[in-house]
Amino acid sequence: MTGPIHAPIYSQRSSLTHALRILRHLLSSLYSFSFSSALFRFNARTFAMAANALTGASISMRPLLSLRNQTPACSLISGSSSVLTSSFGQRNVYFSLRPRSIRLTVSCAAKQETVDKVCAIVKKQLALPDDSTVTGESKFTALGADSLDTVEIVMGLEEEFGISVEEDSAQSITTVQEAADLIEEIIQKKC
Amino acid sequence: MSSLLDKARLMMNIHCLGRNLVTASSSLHCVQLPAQKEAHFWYVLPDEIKDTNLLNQYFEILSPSEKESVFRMTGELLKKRAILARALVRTTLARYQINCQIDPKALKFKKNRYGKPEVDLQYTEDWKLPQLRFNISHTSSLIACGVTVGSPIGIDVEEKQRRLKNDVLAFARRYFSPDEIEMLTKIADPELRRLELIKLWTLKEAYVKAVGKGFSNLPFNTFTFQFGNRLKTGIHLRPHVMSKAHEITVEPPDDSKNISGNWQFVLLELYGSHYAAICIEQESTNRGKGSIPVNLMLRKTIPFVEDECIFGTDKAVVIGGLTTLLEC
Repeated sequence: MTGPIHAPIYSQRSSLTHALRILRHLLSSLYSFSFSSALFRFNARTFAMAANALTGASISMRPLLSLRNQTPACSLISGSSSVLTSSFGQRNVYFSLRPRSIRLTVSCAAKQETVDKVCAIVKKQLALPDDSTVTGESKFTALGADSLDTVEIVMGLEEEFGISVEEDSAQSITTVQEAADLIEEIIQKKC
Repeated sequence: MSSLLDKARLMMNIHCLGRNLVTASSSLHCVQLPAQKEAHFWYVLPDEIKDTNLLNQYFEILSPSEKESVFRMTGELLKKRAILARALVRTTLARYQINCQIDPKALKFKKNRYGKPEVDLQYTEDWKLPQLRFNISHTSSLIACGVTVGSPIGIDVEEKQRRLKNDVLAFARRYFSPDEIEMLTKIADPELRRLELIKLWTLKEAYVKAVGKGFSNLPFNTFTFQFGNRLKTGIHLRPHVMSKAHEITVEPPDDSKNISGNWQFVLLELYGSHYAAICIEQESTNRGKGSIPVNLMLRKTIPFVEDECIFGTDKAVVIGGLTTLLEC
C-alpha cells in the first residue's frame, strides 16, 4: 500500500499534552519570577494559540512577553484562576493564586513602534524628507496625500505588517494614529 | 511664503467685521448654466498664480472652516493648493447664479450622508438657485472643478508622470477587477502599462465620486471598465489600449447595492501631461438605445482675472468616451 504516511494520531495527541504540560509549568514558574523592565501581557487567546500551534517540541512564547525596549503602553490582563500583574524592579514577588473574578482590561493606543513604522511608510509614500514632522496626529490629507497615496499607504502597511485591510476600514483612517490603531486591532484579531 | 500666511491671517481679522461684497463678485465673468446632458469643466494651473494679493483675495472668500483646513495643511505649497481648490469651487459656482449676484463667499456647502460635498441651497429665501452639482479634484499642478445641473458628477485628475511606489501589476491585483488585471498584464511595455493604470484609476475615482457613496460602498475591484464592444466577448487578442473612438462603459451596470444609473464617462488628456476623467449620469430613458455623447465645455480660469475657453486646441484632447467638446 503506497501513499503518504501520516503520524499516528496518538503521537500527535501526546505531543499536544506534552506541550500543554510545558506551558503550565512555564506559567507557574513565571508566577515567582520578577521581570526587571518588561510588562507582562497575557492574552487568553494567545494562550490557546500557543497550545494549538504545535509542530514540534518548541513552543513560541513570544506573544506572552513584550520586548524590553518597547514602551509599555497598555496591558491586557485576564485569567481563569489568578491575576498576573507586572512588577518593576522588584525581586521575588509573590503573586497571589487566590481565585479572583476575571478582569479584562481593553488595550489602549497602539505601540510607539507601530506608530513609528506607519510614519516611515507615510513619509516614504509622500516623499517627505526624513526630518519632516510626522506624528500620530498627522492627517494624511494635511501631509498632501491624495486618494492614490492613501491606497498605496494601505498597501505598504499590509505588506509591512502582514495584514489585510478591509475597504471600509481603509476609508476610515485619516491619521497616522488611526492607521496604527487599526493595524494593531487587525493583528490582535489574527491571533 | 510665510508672509502669505501672515497676510492671510491679517485679512481674515480685518474682514471679520464685515464682508467685502463688491470686489469679489464684480470681477467674475458670468456664464450660462450647463444644459441637460452637459458638463462644464473648469481648471486652474497653480503654477500660473504667484501674486500673493490674488491669493489673499481667494483666501478671503473662504468660510471659517475652510480657512481652518488651509491652516492645517503642512507647508506653503499645500496651503496654496487648498486655497485655490476652495476658491475655484466658490468662484465657479457663483458665476452661474442669476445675474451673477451671489458673492462666492456667501455659498454654503453641506455633505451628503457619505461625506460627499454638495451645494447647500436651503439657506436662501430671496433667489431661486439652480440645482448645481459639482465635484473637484486636484493634483499639485492642476486643480479642476466639474459642474452640471441636476446630474451627479465625479471627476478625477492625475499627472501622467505619476509614479507608483508599488509595482503596477501588484497595485492592480490589489485594487482592480480581474478583467482589468488581465488587460494590464497583456500590455508588454511597462510605461504604457503604467499609463493605462493611471487612466483606469482616474475613471474609477471619477465613478465612485459621482456615485457619491464612498470608496467602501463601491470597492474598485467590484466593477470593470470596458471600452467599445471588444471586452464584451471576454477575449482580448491584443493589448487593449483606450482610443478616443471607444465608448467607455462600466460593468456591472446595476449591482446589489442599488447603484443603478446610466453613467457616462469622458477621458481627457490635458496639455499632454494630465489625464482627467469625468463621470456624469445620463437620464435612464437613454439606456439601451445606445449612448448619446456627453457635451463638454472646458475652461481654464484664473478667478477674478481671466477665463479662457478651451476649444479646438490640443491643450485638451478627448482620449476616451463619446464626447462632444463645445465652444463656449
